[in-house]
Amino acid sequence: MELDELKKSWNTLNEQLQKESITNDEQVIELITRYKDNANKSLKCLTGWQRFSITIGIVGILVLSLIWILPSLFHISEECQSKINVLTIFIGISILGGIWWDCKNYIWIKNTKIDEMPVSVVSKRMLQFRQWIKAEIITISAWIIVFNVVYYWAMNFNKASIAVQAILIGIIVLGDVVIIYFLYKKIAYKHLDNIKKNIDELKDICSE
Amino acid sequence: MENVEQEFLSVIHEYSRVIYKVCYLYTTPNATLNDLYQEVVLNIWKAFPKFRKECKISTWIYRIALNTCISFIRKEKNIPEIISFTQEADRIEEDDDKQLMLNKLYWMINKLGQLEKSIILLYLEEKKYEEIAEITGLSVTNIATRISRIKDKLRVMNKED
Repeated sequence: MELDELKKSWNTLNEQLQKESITNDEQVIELITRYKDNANKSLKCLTGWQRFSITIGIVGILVLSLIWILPSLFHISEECQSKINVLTIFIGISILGGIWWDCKNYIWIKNTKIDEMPVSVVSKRMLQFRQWIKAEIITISAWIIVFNVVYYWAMNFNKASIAVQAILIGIIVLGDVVIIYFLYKKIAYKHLDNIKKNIDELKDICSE
Repeated sequence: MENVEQEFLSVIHEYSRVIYKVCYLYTTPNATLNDLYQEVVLNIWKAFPKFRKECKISTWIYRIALNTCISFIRKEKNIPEIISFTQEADRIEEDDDKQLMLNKLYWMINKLGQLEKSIILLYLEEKKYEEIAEITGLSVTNIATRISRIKDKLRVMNKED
């Protein structure tokens, strides 16, 4: 089937569509009404989530501050204090990084205007976004491992006997594997396939 | 009913076949015709108040429909399955030859890349190169080159078939 034949088939489709009604006004009205209701609910939900995330952020900062001042309150050794500092700085930077990343993604998606931007521009932006999702999943996996290393060091596990260390490392590695497996398999895997497929398909747009 | 809604309905009524055809070509097992159709209609509704008539309404509709279909990843079903928009269209009864023709059309076009699919769709809709360029954001020369490349691809596919 070449282009002329494709045209014939296309005309067949056109002819068929001319005979039938695709949609009626009631269906569209119903869809709009549902959309309006859902949008209102989502807005309320979003406001709830924003309040919740702000609360979590404040609690997180309070907990970090508390951890930060704990050593001076309880006269904890200098070595221990420096380790707690490293751990809190690590967590603090991770939280700030996460907030920055979420904001960046949100702004990117919000600025992708499908009614104003041409197809190639929207596709490029979607491609970029999907590559970021992929990078995000890899980064979270790496973060889990780095966090465990820092935690291991902060808790002085490296000073324990070899047998204890072997057990601890075994438990931590197993825990990491389980978390990363669930992250990929249950949350990201289904989408990763789609993302990969979409990235491959959209790549030809970027070869302009 | 509000004026905006009435105006929107008449636009949807006029362009329902256009939307259907775009969705038809981008249907996948994960994104059914009905899902895509609803998503496109909703996106047109969301963008409708912002439409400034700087371009032809058909150009605008094609842009939204193509962008929606290409960007559509079904992370979750945001839209409840309330309406089967394409019910009527699904019931189209073709004779075997026509059905075969449509199946082949779908199969051939689906072997093309996302952007090629958009270009060939607009070409089959007999849009001028200038309008295809406006919708896709590519240059007219690029469109011509791509159409020629698509023709070659179709020829190869035809031989392989």
